[in-house]
Amino acid sequence: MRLHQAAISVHIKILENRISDLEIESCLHLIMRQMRGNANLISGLWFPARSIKFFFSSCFKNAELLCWTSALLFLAISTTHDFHFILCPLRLAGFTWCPGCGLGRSISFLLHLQFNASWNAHPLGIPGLLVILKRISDLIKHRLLLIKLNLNPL
Amino acid sequence: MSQNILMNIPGLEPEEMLFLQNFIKDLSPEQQQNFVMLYNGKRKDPQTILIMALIGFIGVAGIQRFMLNQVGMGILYFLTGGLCLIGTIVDIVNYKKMTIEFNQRVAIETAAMVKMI
Repeated sequence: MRLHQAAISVHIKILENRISDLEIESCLHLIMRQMRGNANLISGLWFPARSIKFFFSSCFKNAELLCWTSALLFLAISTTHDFHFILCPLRLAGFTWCPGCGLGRSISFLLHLQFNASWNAHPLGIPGLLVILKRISDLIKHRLLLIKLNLNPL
Repeated sequence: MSQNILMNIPGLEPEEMLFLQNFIKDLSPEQQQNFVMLYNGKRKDPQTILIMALIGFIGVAGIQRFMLNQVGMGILYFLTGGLCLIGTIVDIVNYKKMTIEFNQRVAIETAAMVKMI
């Protein structure tokens, strides 16, 4: 609405020849900026490319977010055979049983949509995945909230 | 003025103080005083969180997550020994940011409460 009025007033000024070149330039600059702002508002964060960009830029500013995202990506990409034995220091130290043993494989099977195998690897795979996704979404929501409040997100 | 009020909070981090200064500058002095009192009671000290994360190496992992109101993560850490120690190490590296995030949430909540009073 304001943009519309500004455009009309500039147009009238140009018609009446009582505006300098410099003023026209600054006005156009202002209008362009506001238009871009409106476009951002409309497409917002729901525009996929923008939201993906926001997600990755916040990943590099937040170690925890980066950690969970890369862990899930790793589990999604890896073929689910023997990475667990390389990774887990407890297993390397010689412990044969742990209540969380198989959780990584379970989530990995889940991300490959093999639900039976996931249940067999560890029954708590689905809640585990949900908890991590909840945490990721919480971190992003917090960043968005800080940006909305015009506060510097750390 | 607001800086003097914030000085009443013991163990305040510089980043946290900057955030709070920005955050409470629109409140009235009386509201600011209420805010500081409530916030001081609710906030967590990063050092406590670090110690709780360190306990993950010798005993129960995930206490820091419970303290920061992340019950799901806490249970996950508890059952898996801190996600096979990796989560514990992440928390030790990241304890400050995690605590500041929690404290920011607390600050937002507290400000809403103070404005209602």
